[in-house]
Amino acid sequence: MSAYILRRILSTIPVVLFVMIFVFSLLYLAPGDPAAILAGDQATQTDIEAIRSQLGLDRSFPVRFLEWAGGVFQGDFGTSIFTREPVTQMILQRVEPTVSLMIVTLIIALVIAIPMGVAAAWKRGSLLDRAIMLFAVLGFSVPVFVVGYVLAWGVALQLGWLPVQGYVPLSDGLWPWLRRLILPAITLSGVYIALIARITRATMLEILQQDYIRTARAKGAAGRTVLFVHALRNALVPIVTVVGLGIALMISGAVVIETVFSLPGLGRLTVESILRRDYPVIQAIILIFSFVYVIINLLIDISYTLIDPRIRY
Amino acid sequence: MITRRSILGAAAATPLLSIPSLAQNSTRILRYVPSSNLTILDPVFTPAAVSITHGYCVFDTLYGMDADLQPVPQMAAGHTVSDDGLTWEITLRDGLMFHDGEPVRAQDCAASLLRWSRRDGFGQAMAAATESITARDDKTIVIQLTRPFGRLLHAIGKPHSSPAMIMPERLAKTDISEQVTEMVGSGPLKFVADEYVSGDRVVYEKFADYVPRDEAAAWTSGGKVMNFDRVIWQIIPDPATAAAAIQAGEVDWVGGILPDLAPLMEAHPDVNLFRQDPFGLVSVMRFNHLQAPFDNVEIRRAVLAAVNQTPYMQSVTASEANRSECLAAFPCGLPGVKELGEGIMGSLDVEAAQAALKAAGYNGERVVILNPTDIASIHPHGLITADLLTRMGMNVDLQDTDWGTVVQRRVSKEPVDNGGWSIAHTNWPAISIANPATNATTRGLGEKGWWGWYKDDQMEQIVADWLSAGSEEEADTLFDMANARAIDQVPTVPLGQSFQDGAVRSDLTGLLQGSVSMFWNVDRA
Repeated sequence: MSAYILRRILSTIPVVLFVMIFVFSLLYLAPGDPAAILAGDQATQTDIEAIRSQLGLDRSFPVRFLEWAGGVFQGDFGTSIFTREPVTQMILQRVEPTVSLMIVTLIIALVIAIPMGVAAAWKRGSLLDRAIMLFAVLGFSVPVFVVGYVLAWGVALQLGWLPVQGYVPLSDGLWPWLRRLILPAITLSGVYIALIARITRATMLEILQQDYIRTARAKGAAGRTVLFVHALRNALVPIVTVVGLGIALMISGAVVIETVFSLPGLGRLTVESILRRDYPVIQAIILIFSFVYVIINLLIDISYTLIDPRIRY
Repeated sequence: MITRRSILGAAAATPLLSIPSLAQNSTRILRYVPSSNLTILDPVFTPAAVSITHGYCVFDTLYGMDADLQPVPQMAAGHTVSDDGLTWEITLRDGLMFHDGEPVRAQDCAASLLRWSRRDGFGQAMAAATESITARDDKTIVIQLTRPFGRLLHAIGKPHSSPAMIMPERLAKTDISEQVTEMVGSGPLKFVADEYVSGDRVVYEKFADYVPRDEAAAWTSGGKVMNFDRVIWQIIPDPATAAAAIQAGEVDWVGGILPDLAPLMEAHPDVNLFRQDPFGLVSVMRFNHLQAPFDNVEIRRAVLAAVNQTPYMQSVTASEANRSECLAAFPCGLPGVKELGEGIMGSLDVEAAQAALKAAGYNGERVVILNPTDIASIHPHGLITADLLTRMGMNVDLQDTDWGTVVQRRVSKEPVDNGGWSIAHTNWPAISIANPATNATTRGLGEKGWWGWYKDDQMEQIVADWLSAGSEEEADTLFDMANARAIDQVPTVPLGQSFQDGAVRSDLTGLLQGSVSMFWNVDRA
């Protein structure tokens, strides 16, 4: 097992290398000039060229790439073209809101979706099953920003129960932190509740048809025991897969939610950086996201062996 | 170890901490939402409005603009001019201090003016007439000119894009192609670097050693009295969220409200609309003068004649109170501006326009319109222009892209078949293009000038004469000449003026009008 984990970790190196080259090339070839954006509307060609030269944007592709890659291998992602701050510092400032949002979203999604999926499978064909599946369809089909605006209008503006926007770090206290995250997390969790509930239901339905479930029932096992001990544990492999991939997909959902609820997270930083062509920031964020994605996949694979001892690597 | 008991305990305790009256001392805080994120801190390096707003917090200027848009002493106590008009001596007033505790010296001002004059258009015009900017002593700045430059105070006191802000000499010596990132000024607010998170918040603290002037505050002049201890900018990228935040009382002031949301603000009992800039924004259609077909003045005139400003302005705002047509090359409402385009613009006669095009020798050249889809106030203009030119019989290629790409592509002087362009639209703060020297849209500097590269030696002579005019009457005459010349030669098509309102909580008083939000004089009732 440890040899497998080591192999998998080593295999991330070429992936990350490829991402580095690909992202750098893509941004190099993409239209848009940060120097022109920096210089503003009144700038002359001379002004823009001076800024390009000052930022080193006039150097050749190989020189720029090698300099950047050399920095990355030393843990230095460079400096933002616009704010002149170290990229690492900018990213660290923005990590907490995004991670907080993802954790709270995931907790809400798991706490609601798995019982929903199990209940729908257990009461297959009932009104409850149909209601849960209807909710799942709505969760998929209603855009998150619509849900976000409706919740902000109703819960925050009309009822005044929660703040409209903004983020408070966890260091300021658990409740202030949570207050700011409840609405965005509920908004973002809708699609994941729908996804996980449907997968749970489908997997549970399949497992509840298995011989060993019939045997457990024949031996007099209680319904709850059959459901949660025999069936659910065996249904966890696909659920864990979906949850893991959901975490990766959440990053894209976070972009919209962070904008709607004004959370200063990585999603917003990504969009801002792309729009203004802040190359060092974009490169660092994509690289980090790629690495996180690879690690999540690894953790998913490792978790299989814990859930199902029959799986061996 | 986190236990259920500790979590419940923390959750029970923290609401108390979140009640402002218990959690905070008597610090008075003003919460403001700027129209865009602050990424560039150096207000001389960039003309971005948000950076200038930030600049007025941290920095001060030698001269400010009063309510009549005339330059009046700000950091300066006053000035003298030699009889030949070539030597200007500006004396600093007492009590000026930088935020790092150092006194403001004439050397700091001279270095700051030099740096500013390398970037700003008006500054460059001043530099062209300047032999040297030096400090005679710690209190006296000497500007030695090579020829009279009557508008010197207008230049160093200009309120926008870009004001001549004063910073310590060590910072002012930074090359103009490089940003100053250390924020040390002598303005009424200190920048709190430790709390700055681009994209989230900008924090300022009242500068205790700031000595305001005695005069009443107006625009960028007068006594900059800070009534709040801290000003916190909260970056809210979504306009609807910003509107919700001010309705909920989470912020005090939103710099710019989306026109669609203005009625909501008006209807709210605790929120008022506030028009920050009474002169607004001017929308313009800019031609590429280096390439056919718009290197031909007759074709430009044909387009000018066909342009009706109403749909352009309607696309920016549905509210009639927030838009106005302006048949002039300079923004209407500003001193000295006369509308001269009556009967020249907006005939709406497409058949006549088609005939004019034909007579001008239009040969079906492709007209590439660069159109940013991510700028709501500009994107519709590209669509309207494309429709108009198509109806006029032009071979239109509307290229929708993002602002970042537009900004890059519009500096290309290549033909359209090689990535070039023919038309691009943009907005200018009216105050930025208020006179012949600062109006980049009418200047005739050619390839040294604003993108589009309109070359007109006659216009440049008018500008030079205006800058050195010996009397107001002469200056007014030259101003009219510049206006008429621009309407005749059509370097740019003016598309009208629009006004964006901000929103403020109704308990705020003392808000000042100006081209940007200003936080002095503001108080809570």
